Amino acid sequence: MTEHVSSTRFADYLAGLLDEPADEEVEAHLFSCRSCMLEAEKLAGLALAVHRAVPPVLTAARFEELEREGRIAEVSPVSPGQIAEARFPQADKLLVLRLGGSDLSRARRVDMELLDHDGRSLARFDDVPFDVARGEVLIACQSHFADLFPPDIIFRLERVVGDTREEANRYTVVHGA
Amino acid sequence: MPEPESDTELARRIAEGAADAASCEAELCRRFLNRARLYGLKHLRFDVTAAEDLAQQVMMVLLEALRAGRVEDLERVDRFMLGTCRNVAHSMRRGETRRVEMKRRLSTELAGVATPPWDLVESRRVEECLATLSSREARLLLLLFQDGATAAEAAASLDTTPGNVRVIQHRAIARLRDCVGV
Repeated sequence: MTEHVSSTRFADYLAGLLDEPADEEVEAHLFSCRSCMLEAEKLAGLALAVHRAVPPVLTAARFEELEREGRIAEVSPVSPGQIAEARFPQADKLLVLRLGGSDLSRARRVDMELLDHDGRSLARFDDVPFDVARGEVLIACQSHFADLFPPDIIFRLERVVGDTREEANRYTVVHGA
Repeated sequence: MPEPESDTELARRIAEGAADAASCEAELCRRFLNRARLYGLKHLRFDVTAAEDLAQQVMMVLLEALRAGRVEDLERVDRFMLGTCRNVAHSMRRGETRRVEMKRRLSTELAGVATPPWDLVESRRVEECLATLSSREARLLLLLFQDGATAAEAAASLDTTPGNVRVIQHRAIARLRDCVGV
């Protein structure tokens, strides 16, 4: 039997970061070693859960996938300057906020900051997915966000154009009970 | 049935058509099914249904080969399994599946085999823990495990090197494991 395989090497294997001979070496060991298989199962569980996880900001492709899976309870368009009302969704369902109306046509990157109603920063998400044509960012609001964030949230979008960073827009969402 | 000492002993009893061959087949499935499932997860990009199909096909091929005496080296059933996994995954990627028939034929052998262990990791807990990582770490994990990005693609997205992608990934996975508790 070949040498045992470290956790980091299994992680590389599952992430597709190894070349083919290294992949095959890991597999040959895995199929012959029960203790390594037990460790690999734990990592596979974690990797699968990451694969299934819903990130706070969605790509258009992930949005469509979740829609096909029936995970999206409601889609709510939000315009800049408007105070939108929303409800946190039930467990396992998603409320998708379409933050639209921003000119992102020249943006090479978009960052997002969450602020409370006094303007204090709650969280920051750099380099989020965005739709150039629609000028839109898709937020996947999840039930457990109710435990993490206050009911009134301001989403501040920043666009990076060339070397210049500037605020694109602010969106206010008030979550009811 | 007293538990046989080795995979080889199980394989031998199946190949010889021993009186307890049926229970040996069930035991061999219990031992090997998760290896085939994990191979499927990795090579079929976390498609759980396809991975399950692959695992069932592989177990069927293995059992049929053992019964027919076509496994030459009973000491290395694991190698036969791995080779079969590669062949079946290749066929599945080409769309040559025999899913319905396989499932029907395997219903007896696989009855009672535990559900995949990776279903025990709670997705919501992982989502909460992803939020505790740096945005760069979380973004990398999504690039690798959701988008199927290569090291070079992930490096370009994060404006770093492929070598550094691996370093960030190791750190992110370690922090995620700590947080989730696996």
